Amino acid sequence: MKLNISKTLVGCSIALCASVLPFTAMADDYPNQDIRLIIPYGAGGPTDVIFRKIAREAEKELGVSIVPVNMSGAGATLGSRHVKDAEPDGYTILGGHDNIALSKIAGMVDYSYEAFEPVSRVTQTFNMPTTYPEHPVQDASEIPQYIEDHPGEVKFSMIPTSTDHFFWMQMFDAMGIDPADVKLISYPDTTEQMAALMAKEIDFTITNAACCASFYEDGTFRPLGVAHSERLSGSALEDIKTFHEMGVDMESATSRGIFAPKGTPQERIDILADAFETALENEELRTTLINELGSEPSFLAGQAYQDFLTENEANLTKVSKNIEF
Amino acid sequence: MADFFLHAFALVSSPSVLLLIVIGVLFGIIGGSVPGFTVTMAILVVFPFTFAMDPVSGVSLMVSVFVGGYSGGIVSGVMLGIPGTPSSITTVYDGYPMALRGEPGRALGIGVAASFIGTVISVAVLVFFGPLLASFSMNFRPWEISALIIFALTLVAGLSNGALLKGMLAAALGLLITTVGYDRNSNLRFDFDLPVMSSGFEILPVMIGIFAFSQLMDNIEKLREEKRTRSEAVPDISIPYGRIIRDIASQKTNTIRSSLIGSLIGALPGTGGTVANFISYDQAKKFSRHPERFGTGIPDGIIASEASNSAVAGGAFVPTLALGIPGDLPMAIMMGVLILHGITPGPLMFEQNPVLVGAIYASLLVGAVVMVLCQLLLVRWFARIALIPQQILVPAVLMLCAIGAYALNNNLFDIWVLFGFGIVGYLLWKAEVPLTPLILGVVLGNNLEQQLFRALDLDGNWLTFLTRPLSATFLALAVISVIFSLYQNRKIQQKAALNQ
Repeated sequence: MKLNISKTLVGCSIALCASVLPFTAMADDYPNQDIRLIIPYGAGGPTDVIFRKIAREAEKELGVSIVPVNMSGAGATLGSRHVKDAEPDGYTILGGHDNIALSKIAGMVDYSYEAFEPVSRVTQTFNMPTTYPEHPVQDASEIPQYIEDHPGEVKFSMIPTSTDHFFWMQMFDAMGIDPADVKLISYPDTTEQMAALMAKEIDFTITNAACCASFYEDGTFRPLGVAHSERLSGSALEDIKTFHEMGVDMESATSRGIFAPKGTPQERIDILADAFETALENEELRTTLINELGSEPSFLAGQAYQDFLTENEANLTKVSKNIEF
Repeated sequence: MADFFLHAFALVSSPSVLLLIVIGVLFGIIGGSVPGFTVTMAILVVFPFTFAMDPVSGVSLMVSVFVGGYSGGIVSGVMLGIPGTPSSITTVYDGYPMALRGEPGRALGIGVAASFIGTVISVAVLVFFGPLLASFSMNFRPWEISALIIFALTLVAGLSNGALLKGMLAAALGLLITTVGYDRNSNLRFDFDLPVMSSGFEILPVMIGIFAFSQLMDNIEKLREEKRTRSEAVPDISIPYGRIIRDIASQKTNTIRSSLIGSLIGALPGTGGTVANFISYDQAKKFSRHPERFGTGIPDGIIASEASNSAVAGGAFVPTLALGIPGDLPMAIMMGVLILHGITPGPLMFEQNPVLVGAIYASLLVGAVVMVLCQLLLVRWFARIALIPQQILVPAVLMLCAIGAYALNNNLFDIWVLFGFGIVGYLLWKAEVPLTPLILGVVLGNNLEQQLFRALDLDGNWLTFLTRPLSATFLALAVISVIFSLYQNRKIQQKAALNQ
């Protein structure tokens, strides 16, 4: 702790002296003060926990502290707006996910990925439709028939304008289900959806290995398939069929990544991306991410990440055609 | 059962963990006692430190912050008349008048003792009825929660002592305030084209504004007259132990009832400390032989309030541990800590990590004992803040309030919310509008809207609210509560007329 304070003080005084020097002279020193990692969700949630874990590894590479700052509110746009408008010096970065594009598509804000400099993708968490054990539907491929047998009665839970909401629309599209034939019930967060499923208030919800692996294991919930091209690892997960195996051509994940304000110098972006890449190579961190947080480390940076984001936004926009906001 | 419990106790009573518990309790007390710093804030600050700890240490630290936090609201409530957290609003009703009457030590002592008993009873409920209560709480679906919230809102009628209409209006205004920002389908309402308004108003700055800021403005107003009387206003803050034991002993039923109400409400998803607080205060008043004396500074009110809000600490663990579903924000953070240490709360936790479950129980109990010791040893020093001249105290408290409001979301707008609602609160207070219903409306509004519309989404028939037994019961209680408070108000008025 003491070390950190003195480090910060030194960093601050260097920054103070340097502020009178030309900017280019500074480039080599980066980073020389603590980096603020804005997390647009509350403390303790999956996004918060995942970014904190990764940041602890990455800061070892950078030699300065990465200080996670929770800035939740307004559907995660409070935090993303803060980073978008921050000084593009590499000292304020965002830990975000697909929600950045979703907020724009839903009309909440007028900016998407293009308002940031993408640094790197860090993890992907694959989505699974899930039900309670007594439910007659055994896997996702049986859902269309079930809806046909129970017209207008089948209840799907979702968090409006979140990945969940888009997941169902994408699945309905892939399975040829008319959204008008089902009931979409909205909930504010994952835990409330889990409670509703336990109470059998709804038929189906979206889960992932991050929240629910232990619930699959003890039989509280039954996963109906994973929206991924290959099966997941882990004892409770490897038996879950992929959508591809069921003949449903669809993938869906929450892809978490780091974003910097537009105009951040490229060499600083590279320094950050390298640090996160090295961090994700750490075996212990990988094990924690996969086994405890249900998320696959999947680093992507530079043009490849840029392309991923462009495609991701295009896919989500296509799906949104069927959604009324 | 006893085996893992003993093992857990041994772990928790190791010197390093004990030290963490003392630090956690102290930090919680400070967090709860500074207006605006709430239990949630204290938890948030401590949370990152648990990263580097082993699970038992991390969990013990978090649990002890809870225990300290729920008892911390006593000090500022009693000494300054400002509730430290939303769940200690009703503590002010009787604690502050008792302190003004020259018995601050007694008010603080009663509060601490009731807090302790509340925590212990709630741990007992958690240990013996945890899984049972958790499965019962699954019966609380949108219909029941909406009905319970409506019931809680009608209780304000009884608490606004005669000003029924003004109380109702204030509650409605509170509900209206919660409609600012995105609705449940992400439609923007009442944002006046300002992006900062899009996330709506945070409860905390609204509450601090309405209670603390308006109170402080009133203090400034009184500064001039007070200068003359200042010298004799040094209150006696020694704690009369014998008196407190007698006070509690004469309120056995109230203490146990309030603790049970706190544990039960704490265990329900989607409610929390504030609701528990109001319901148990109201129940204490309704069962009392002298309801008209509530609000004048009697032990009954302080006990009802503090026993119930501390009992929420134990109760809130029930759905988190037994189902893996956190009922409120602090519990969601708590669950994050557990997950971070590789432990997923849920039915499996009792089988896979019995020692850790035991450690939670043990640190709740040890934390409660540490809390009593810390409070009784230090409360006299905490209470001295009331001796600081108003000219210094007012700006200092105001600044702490603003920092607290800011730190929650790191959002500057929240400070403006605090000042804005401070002025609104001050004007309403001058117009003799009760402020508590307003706060209760703000606290419960969003949840009511969510639950009500979800109930109708699931089943478009309004009659469902009457055909489900639990929701019908709460709605009936709501009606009875309004009728009862009308009747009680009339009785109080008649008594007053007789005395004249």
